[in-house]
Amino acid sequence: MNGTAKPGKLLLLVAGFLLWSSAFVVLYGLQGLGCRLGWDAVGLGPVSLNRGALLAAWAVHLGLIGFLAAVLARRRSHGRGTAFLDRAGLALTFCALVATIWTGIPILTTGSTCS
Amino acid sequence: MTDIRETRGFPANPDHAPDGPAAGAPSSDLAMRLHRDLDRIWSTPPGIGRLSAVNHTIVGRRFIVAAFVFFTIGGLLAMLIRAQLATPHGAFVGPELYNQIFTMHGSVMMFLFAIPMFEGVAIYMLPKLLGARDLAFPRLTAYGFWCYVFGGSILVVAMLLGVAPDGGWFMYTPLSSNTYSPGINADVWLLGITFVEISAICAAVEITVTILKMRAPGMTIDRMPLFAWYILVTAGMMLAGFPPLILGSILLEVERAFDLPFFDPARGGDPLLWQHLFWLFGHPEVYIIFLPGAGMVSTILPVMARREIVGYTWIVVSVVAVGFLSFGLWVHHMFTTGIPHLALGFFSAASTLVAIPTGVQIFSWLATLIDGRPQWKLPMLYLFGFFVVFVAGGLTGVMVAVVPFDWQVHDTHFVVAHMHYVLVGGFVFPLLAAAYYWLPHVSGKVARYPLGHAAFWLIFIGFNLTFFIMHLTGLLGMPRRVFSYEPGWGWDLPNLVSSFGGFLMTIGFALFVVDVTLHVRFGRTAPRNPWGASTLEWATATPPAPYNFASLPTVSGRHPLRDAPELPSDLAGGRGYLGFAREGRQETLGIHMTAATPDQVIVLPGPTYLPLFTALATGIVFLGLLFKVYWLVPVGAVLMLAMFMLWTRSTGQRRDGGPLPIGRGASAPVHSEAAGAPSWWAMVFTLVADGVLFSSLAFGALFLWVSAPAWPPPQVLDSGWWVPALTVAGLAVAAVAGLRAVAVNGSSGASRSAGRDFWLLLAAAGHAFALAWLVVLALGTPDPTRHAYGAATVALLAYAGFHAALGCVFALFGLWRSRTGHVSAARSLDLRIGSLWHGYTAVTGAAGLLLVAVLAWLVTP
Ligand code: HEM
Ligand SMILES: [Cu+2]
Repeated sequence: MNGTAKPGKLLLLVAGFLLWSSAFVVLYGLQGLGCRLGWDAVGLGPVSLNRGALLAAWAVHLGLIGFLAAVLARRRSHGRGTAFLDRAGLALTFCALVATIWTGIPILTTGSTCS
Repeated sequence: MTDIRETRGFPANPDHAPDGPAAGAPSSDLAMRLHRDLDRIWSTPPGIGRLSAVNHTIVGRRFIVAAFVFFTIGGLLAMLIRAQLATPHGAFVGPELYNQIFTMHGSVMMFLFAIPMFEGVAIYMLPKLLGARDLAFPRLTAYGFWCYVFGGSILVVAMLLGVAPDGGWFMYTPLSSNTYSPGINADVWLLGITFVEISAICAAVEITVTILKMRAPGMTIDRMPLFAWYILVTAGMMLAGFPPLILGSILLEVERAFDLPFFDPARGGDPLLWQHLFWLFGHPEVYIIFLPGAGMVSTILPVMARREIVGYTWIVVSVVAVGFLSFGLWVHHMFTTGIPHLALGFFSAASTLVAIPTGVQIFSWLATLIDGRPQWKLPMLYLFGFFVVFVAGGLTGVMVAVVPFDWQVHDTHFVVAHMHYVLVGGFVFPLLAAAYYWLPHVSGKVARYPLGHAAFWLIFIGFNLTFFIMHLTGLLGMPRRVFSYEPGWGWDLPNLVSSFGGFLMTIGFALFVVDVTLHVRFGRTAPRNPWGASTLEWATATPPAPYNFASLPTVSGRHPLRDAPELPSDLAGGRGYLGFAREGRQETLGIHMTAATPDQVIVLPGPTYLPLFTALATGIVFLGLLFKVYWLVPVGAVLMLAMFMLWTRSTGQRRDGGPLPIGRGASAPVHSEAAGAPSWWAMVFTLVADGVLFSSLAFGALFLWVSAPAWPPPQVLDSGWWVPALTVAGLAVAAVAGLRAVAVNGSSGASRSAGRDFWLLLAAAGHAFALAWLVVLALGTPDPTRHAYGAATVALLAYAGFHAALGCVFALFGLWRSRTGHVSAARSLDLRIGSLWHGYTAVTGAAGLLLVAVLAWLVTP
């Protein structure tokens, strides 16, 4: 246990879930926005523009959280920071990753994105 | 290792301690003297002087007592409901009165009982659990208390006069709009509850700062008692959850008072906006109530089971996860409002997730019980009640989270039953367990009579009779919020049973009150630490002294009292930190957030009437709004501002003190010379809450454009680009000037103070400049009463204007503090706090103006 972590390191505990919150707000907002702008009717390859945008936003967030998890996993294996912050931070980021995957799954369902 | 005097290699003597126990004299005399001195410094004057109390033990106790009084009021209302529904065609009250009664019951229980109650427990307990002498902002604690009591009184007085709110505790529009609620009733709710919410925001900021900055030295966050973790997350949730409600209440009140149609679909508003803002608060609210209850369980259960809690880290992870996930659920209260399926899917997914962390906690409690040696003492009995009731409530919760089922039972008594299983199970039972657990601490007594057991069984059986049967009533189709029903629909018997159970439960609560009274009056003197707990609150005297600890502990693990059984006497003997009285000041320690090493001496203010007077001035503002005597509002606001200015007279100092000895061979600067002073952090967290409010407002404006009928508006703001640009420029100048003032103030050189004062003046000027242009923009906005577009635009401009105006005040305040010698190169706290505000105002001001421009562009045909 070394106690040299900066106060900002406490943010690592919640960084993953802050990204989850961002994913949630962006997906929910984008869905409504896309419907208002009629993106549901615009095609984008196999999907509608609306679904495409949602997929992209989802993917970006998953990528960010995945990256964060990888960084934290590295830090932990190198034993930087304090043991508790590393362990709890990694666990929370991992939970946030699972939560983001799960929350976004409805995007993959069939049917219009706006009904 | 276990001896406090040996940890961290500090010598046993508090050397360099002014007025401290000197070497050579008999130690018990010295300890007596120390306690006398501290008592003199920390005590609250008797008689009328009690109104000036700011001490957390006293104000915390007042919060608890007041919340219990409101619980009694809410309970009496519940009894009226049950009396009315006991038989078909109940003749007790008519529909108008019934509406007021159930609305007041729900509102009182949620806003005036549950939240203030846990705030009270946290205010009372936290410093003791963390090893501090008080909370970070004692006067704010007292101010919050008065706001709570005054706001609550407005509601109760309105009820006695027969004009209580009657639109249900969630106040849906359009029912609560002018057309359908023309009277004062809805205003009472909106203004009274907002008044009370001031106390919630104050408490949330104060609790967050206290937990992060004022733990005992050595208490790194992984050594923090779990209760503190739960309360920390709860406070964070309040910072994010209450602003949407406050915003919604402001917008609805503005609609009612000044006819700005935020929620009127005929003029571009949307009633669904209210539902969003309300449930954005309302669902997290359920967890804001439950988490403190769970925190009490996690504190008491391991002591009863005589085993350390299983899975500390996992509990922390679950609590943080719940704190976030519970914000992704709000729309599940709106499943029946016709929101697109995909959006519902997001919320449904989050709803199913939130059960997992709750499950983790339940399993770690069970594992602790199974692996421990549980003793059936009274708190344990109430924990048993919690388990049964809460788990049952969780099961029906999973049922209503399934959309098709929810369609069936929506707005029936099934939902009422579910809700009470969760709320009473998750909060009231843990609270009763905590009451019995901590009573010996509060009163210094142990009970003489076993009435607590009888009370438990009456409450437990009565509760289940009332609400288990109510599931059935709901499945039989009985809607909630109806004052009467026809005989012969199968609802007669279950309702009668529910009412009978309700009265049984009431007798149980009455017995609890009798028991506590007897306990306090006739109990035997309690031994110290009667349950054999290992947390720091049991290291104080019982009942506790106003300064909690004669000297402050060092902590080297999660169980300070178990690791060092002699800790209480060491602390009482003045052998910890700050074991002396210095210059008659109320001192406690601040620590580095993660390293938990002492980094400042926090000097706290003593008793003062200012919080009471400030709350009275706040009351003038609210009463002026309520009775539509609008000239009173600015008068009250100016009075409030003046009072807050007076608060600062006794804070800070006029000379640099440098590092002060804090005992045990260590030293630290006073907080106004330290980098991360509590008030700086308080501003950070206040701005977080403020940022949520701003985001909710931005969401609201966009939501109306996306969803509301009757768009586009007939007219659009046509300001050109240079007025908004000048406004933003003014705010940016203010922000930069604020930063420059801090930098110049910290430099050395002849022109230091002149340069600083120049930049502060410039900051004030920048704000004033921006404010003027904001007024120009607002005047150019199309009539805000004609369409919600204008109303939303004006709201965004008003938000920026309010912040610019206060920014002006902050800058001039910094100037005044500088001129009166409160600021030096080492003491820059006032300037740094101001600078945070200037920066925030610039960022949100720019974002707000951008949104105004985007809205105008979007709706231009
Ligand atoms: C002490 C025993 C209690 C009883 C017998 C009781 C009874 C009831 C009943 C019968 C209703 C439904 C009224 C209707 O829909 O017509 C109700 C509503 C409600 N209760 Fe309770 N309650 C109790 C305690 C509590 C507690 C402790 C809380 C919260 C912490 C609470 C919160 C609520 C809320 C929020 C509502 C909804 C009000 C509305 O529909 O606007 N109740 N209660
Ligand atoms: Cu909910």
